[in-house]
Order: sequence, then C-alpha cells, then structure tokens
Amino acid sequence: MEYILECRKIFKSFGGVQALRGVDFTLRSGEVHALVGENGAGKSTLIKIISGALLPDRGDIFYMGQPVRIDSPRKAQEIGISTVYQEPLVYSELSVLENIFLGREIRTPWGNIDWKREEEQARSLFASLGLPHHFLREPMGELSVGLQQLVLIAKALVYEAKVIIFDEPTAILTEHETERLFTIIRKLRDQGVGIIYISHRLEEIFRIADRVTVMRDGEVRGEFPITAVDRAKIVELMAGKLLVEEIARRGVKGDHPLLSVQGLTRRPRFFDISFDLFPGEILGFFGLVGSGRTDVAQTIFGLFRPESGKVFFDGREVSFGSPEEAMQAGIAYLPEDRKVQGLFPIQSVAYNISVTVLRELVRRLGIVDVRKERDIAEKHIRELNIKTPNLKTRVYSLSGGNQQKVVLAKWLSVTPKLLILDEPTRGIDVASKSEIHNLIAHLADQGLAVMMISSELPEILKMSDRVVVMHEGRITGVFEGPEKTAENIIRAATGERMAVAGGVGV
Amino acid sequence: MKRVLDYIVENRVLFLLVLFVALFVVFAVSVPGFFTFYNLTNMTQYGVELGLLALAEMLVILSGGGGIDLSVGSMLTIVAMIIGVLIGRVGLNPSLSILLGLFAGAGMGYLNGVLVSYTGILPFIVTLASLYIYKSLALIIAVDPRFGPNPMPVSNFPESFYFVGQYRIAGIPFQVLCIFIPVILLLWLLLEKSIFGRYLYGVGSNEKAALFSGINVCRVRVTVYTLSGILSALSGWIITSRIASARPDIGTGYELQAITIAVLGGVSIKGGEGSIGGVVLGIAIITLLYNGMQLAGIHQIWQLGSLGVVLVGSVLLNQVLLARRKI
Repeated sequence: MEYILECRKIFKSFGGVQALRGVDFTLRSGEVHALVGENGAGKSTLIKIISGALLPDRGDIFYMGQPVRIDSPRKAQEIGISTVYQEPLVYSELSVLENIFLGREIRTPWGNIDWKREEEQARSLFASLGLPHHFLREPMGELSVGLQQLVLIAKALVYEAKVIIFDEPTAILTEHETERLFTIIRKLRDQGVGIIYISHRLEEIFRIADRVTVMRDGEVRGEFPITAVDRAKIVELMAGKLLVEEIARRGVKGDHPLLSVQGLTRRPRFFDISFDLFPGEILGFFGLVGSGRTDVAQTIFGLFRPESGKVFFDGREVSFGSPEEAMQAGIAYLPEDRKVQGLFPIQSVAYNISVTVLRELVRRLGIVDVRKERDIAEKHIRELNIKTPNLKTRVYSLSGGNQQKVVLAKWLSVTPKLLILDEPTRGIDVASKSEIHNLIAHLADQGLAVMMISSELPEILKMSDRVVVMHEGRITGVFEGPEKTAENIIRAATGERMAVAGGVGV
Repeated sequence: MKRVLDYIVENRVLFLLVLFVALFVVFAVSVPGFFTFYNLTNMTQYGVELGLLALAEMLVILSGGGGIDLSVGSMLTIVAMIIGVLIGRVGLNPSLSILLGLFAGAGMGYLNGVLVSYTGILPFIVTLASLYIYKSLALIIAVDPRFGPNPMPVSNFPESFYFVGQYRIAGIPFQVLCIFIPVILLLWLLLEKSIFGRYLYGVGSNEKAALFSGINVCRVRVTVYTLSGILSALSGWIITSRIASARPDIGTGYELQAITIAVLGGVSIKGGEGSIGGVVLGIAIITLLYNGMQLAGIHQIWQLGSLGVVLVGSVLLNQVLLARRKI
C-alpha cells in the first residue's frame, strides 16, 4: 500500500456547472501534501468529498488500500479522516475537554463520563504535541481561534486520525500561532499522519509541504515534489490561459479624481491604503478573503472610523460617521452578503428598491408619495430586467440573480456619484451575471465612478480599467493596460509586492 | 368559493375578520342583551385601555431585535398615579396634570428605548427591569404621608375630569370617538403611509440591511419605545377617568394581555411583519369575547383562560387550513 488515501477520476457537478472533471489525488502517510488553486478551482469540492460532506458523481476513493464510500462527515471521522477548518467548528459553551471527547466519551462502568481518565488522556495528548494543558476545563469560547484549532487537532487524534485536512488554517492566525501550528503539523507528519494542506499563501507551502498539487477549473494542472518546483511555475499553472471576456467601454475617464484615499489605516484590518478613483472609471479590487478589501470599502462608507489617513470625496475632505451621511454625499455600497446585509427578504420588491430614496419622496409631514414610490420601483424593474410577478412580491421568493438585481436597483435609485460593489455577482446565474456586467459598464460610461471588489479573477479582468490588489491589509500592486494580467494579479494577491510604474494610486 | 377560502386563510387580517363576524353572530343569537345599541357602544369603552397597550406592543414588536415592552402596565399605573396625585392631592390644574402625566409616559418610554438601543441589553431584560422600577415608583407616589406609610388610591377629582372616561357623544363613549379612533388613524398613517413606518418595517425585518441602507436604526427604536410610553400614558389617563380613581395596582398583568392581542392580530414576534388592521381586529375580538361571556353569566375568572384559548386556537385553525390547502 503506497498511499493511505487515493482518489481516482473524481467527477462532481452542481446543476450544470462541472466543479471537478476527473481529479486524481493521492496522499501518503507521513507527508504534507499541499493543494493550491484560485477560487472556483475545485479545491473545496474535493475536500468536501474526502471529508464526507459531498458524494462524488463518479470516481473511486481508496483508503488504506480498500475502496470506501464516505457518505457523511461522521463516517469520515470514524475511519480516521478529520478536517480542521479555518473557522473552527466548536461548542463554545462546553469545556475544552468536552469538545475533545464529544461523541467519544470515556465512560465509567456505571455509564458516567470518566472525567479523570479523559483529562489524563488529554494531558498526555497535549504533552505529545508540546502544548500547555492548563485550560482543559475552561469553556472553549474563551480560547483564541488559534488554540481552538489546536484543540480540534487533539480531537482528531482522539479519533485516531490517519488523515488530517487543514483548510486554510493560517488565514486568521497570528504569526506566532502559525509557527506553533507548523511545529505541530511537522510532529504529526513525523508520527505518520497524512496531511492535506490548503492555503493561498505560497510561501507557507514552500515551508511546510512535501508535495504540491495545483488545481484549476476542476482539473489537476500539475503535481510536484516541492523541491522540483518554484513559485513562478505554481503561479503560472494557477493562472493558466484564462478565458477573459471583453466588454465594450467608451472610456470617458474624468480629469479629477472623485475619490482620493490617502494613507487610510484601521489596524489590524488594513494599513496605509492610498488610491484615486476617477469619474467614469471602474476600479477593481482583488485579493483573498480577509485581505481587507471589504474593510476599506465599509470604512469609506462610514460604517467604521479609520485610525488615520484621509478621504477626499468630490473635492473636499470627508469623514462619514454613518452610512446615512455617506449616502447623502452620494456614495452607495452594495454589500457582499446579499441576504444578510442587502435585502429585506420579507418585504416587497417595491419596498426593497425604494427604501433608499424615501427621503426624496416625502411630500409633507413625513408622508411618502406612494405613486412616485411605485414609479421608481417600476422604472428599475424595467431597466434592470428584474423578473418578478408583481411589485408586491416578497423578495425572498425571487431567484438569486433577480434578488441581486433588486439590491443593485436599490442603490441605483439614489443616483450615486460613487458606486461601491462588493462581490456584485457572487452566486448568481450566468445570464444575470452578464446582464449586471453590461449594466455596470454602461453606468461607468455615463460617468459613474465604480469601485468593484471581486474574488473572481475573470470578472476583475473583464470589468476593471485598473486593478488594485490587496494582501493582508496592504496594497501589493496596481495594474492597468498591458500590466493587467492574471499572473501579475495572482502574484500580488499571494503576497509578492509588485513595483509598479508610476507608483500606487496614480 | 375555494379561491375565496384560500385568500382568507392566506391573509391574516381577513381571517380575523371572519373570526370576528362569526363570534359576533354567535353572541348575537345566543346571548340575550348582547345585540343592543347600548351594549355594543358600551363595550367599546372597555376595549380602549387594553387596546392602546396592544397598539404600543405592536409598534415595539414590529421594530424587531427581540422588541417587546413588558413595562406598559407599569407605565399606565405610574401615569394614573401622577395624574391622580397632582389633581387630587396637590390640587394642580387638571389639564396641566394630564399633560405632565403624558410627558412622564413619553419620558419613561424614551428611557426604555435608549437602554435598548444604545446598551445592547435585550428589550426583554430592559423592560422587565423597568416593569418593576416603574411599578415601585407608582407605589411610592401613591403614599400619602398624612395617612401613614402605605400607598393609597386617589379619588377626589373635580367633575370635569370624568368627561373623558364616562361621557358619550351621540351614544358613543367619548374616549372611543375622540381618542381611540384618532389614535388608530394616526398610527395607520404612520405605519402605512409615512417614511417612519417604512423604516420601522425595514429595521424590524433586517436590522443589518437597514443600517447598510442608511437608516438610523437606533433612532427608529427609541421612537417606538417612546410612543409605547405615550400610548400607555393615554391609557392610564382614560382608565383613571373611567373608574374615577387612581389606583396604584391598576395596570398589573396588562402587559401580557397586550402582547397576546398584538400577536393574535398577526404581528410576528420576530419583527417586521404585521399590520394595524390585524391588531385592531384582535382588540375587537377580545373585547367582544369578554363582553359576551360576561353577559352570558360566565364568571370573570374565565376571561384570561379564554384569551389563551382564542390565541392558540386561531393560530392553530389558520395553520390547519393552510396545511389542508397545500394538499
């Protein structure tokens, strides 16, 4: 038996979208195998299949040489495959000890939980990992995220895990916590555990991994011993030959910046952010989740106060204390989470579209002009081609694409000068996506300034006139014209600071 | 016919209307003395006091975030005592006393709102605390030092003070015609037609989206708790005038009945959903029920039980009908 885990020709599709197309993946005992790829490359789907959260459409999985069907996360855990997620799934009210032994409690002959033996076993487990164990009786919620992850590793060991999957474990860890995690991963490897390690941070992969597999578009694009590959090769494989759509633009960029951000800082989210945005321009913001793009946008929109730095809008220095103030100045922000931040799901379509402009529809004594309210809703339903039975339909019953158009309509109805879009097409169908893209381009052609945050590289490349790339709260590159390539952007997004002609922001 | 039935079951307000009419017909046929002009007009006055509190709950619950006001009964009591003591013991001008009472109600509601909005303490806890604090304050105010340390009711009012609670215009009780109906109309305008109503439903159905849409969530919440205080104060004034006495124990237990009526009227306890039409019908149904039972000679001790039965029964019936329709 050469491999502890072997996946052969795995296929998986979600309603017409082929997420995995015949993926082969192998893992030996006592190795760290890194899995890298852009968003949508298929890493998560593969991991979900291995950890029992999804079943493959086709393909075989062999575990310890035997074919297996992993049909639930519980099954995976029982046979020795554990997963440690970025945000640890824990019961914060229960003690550390209870979390570790949940579902595998050690019992006394009378059927009670044998706390003493559980604690002894946990102590020796923690000692073998080189960890302190004074917090075993504390509630899980009092531990830092980094410690919670380590507790979950201990839990995996209680289940005698032979395979441990780490899904972007360091994304929210401090440097010190990352170091400690690496030490433990090496220890586990030396004890013969097979480790699958997913990370966007290429430098980490070169430090910890023995092998690396690069995925793109649901396929494996390369698999190498880590010593036989360099960073540039990995980036090249991740980027591939992206099919970038073109979109017709008139290119009527204004002469003076509408928005000028200078040295904006809000620790620990972002540092020294500076850029200009011109009327008629679409400025793309690319970066990994947690790179600080959304925080910058929300700070400009008045949801947070910056620590230092200046924001100039429409020729004067501004500092908005609330979204209300930012809106009145002419800024609209379409938030990334449509359901939680964007919509009033149980209210009507008309309500959702007009709620942002009500102040302008008031006749007297705070009474809203209902006819104008309806006209505005009808106008936007027509212009954005929103498919809804009628104006009174509750928004939650619409499709995702139409819901997103409603959120967009809500912000267009205020006729802003600056439109901030945070993941404007996440999770919606291809047709709506392309409609929304055309609309954004059209609005920019009419002089609207657009700041567009997206995690989808093809979208960034298609829509943006210029691209700002962020990594861990800092701008690591600004690209336009021939510099605006997938490879440059990925390199900057994975932490390589790029020297750009003309500097940042101009 | 089937389509009509579907429509009724889907629409809570229509469903309540049907329930109201059915109850009305049952009482009119079976209870002697029910279907008379005097009784029908007379019973409306009993609906006013609890009704104002139910409207207060409606506003607060609509605002979401676990919104609830357990202190309405206590605010009613304290305002009743303030008005009573100012008029009966201090000898202040009645109009001025009433005005001061209403201001006190607004102030107490405002305090609830500020605590709920700016401290992040759950409305249940804030208003449970103020239930006791306001109740205790009402008792303290009721103490008349001339007669020892115990709280005492006040009942020496000038004749003019009884006008609101005891007089009729064209056979209809004054407080129904000149206070309750105008309040309902004003609240209808507020909820259905005004920008504040729009914002209230927004805050209630999704607080975060409301914030992201530039709505001042705190201001909306503080406003509804303040309105709740004012409505409770109105109720305290009317009840004092009707029973010709300001009693320090008058509002006890009203808060739960008021919440029950709001929920019966279709206000979602999660916030953001419900209409004034439904709540008004809820008030009408409960008033009708209490009155019909009383005339039928059923003892008062059955009242609260019947309230519970109607609440769970109507919701259950609605669900059963909805489920049948889907098959």
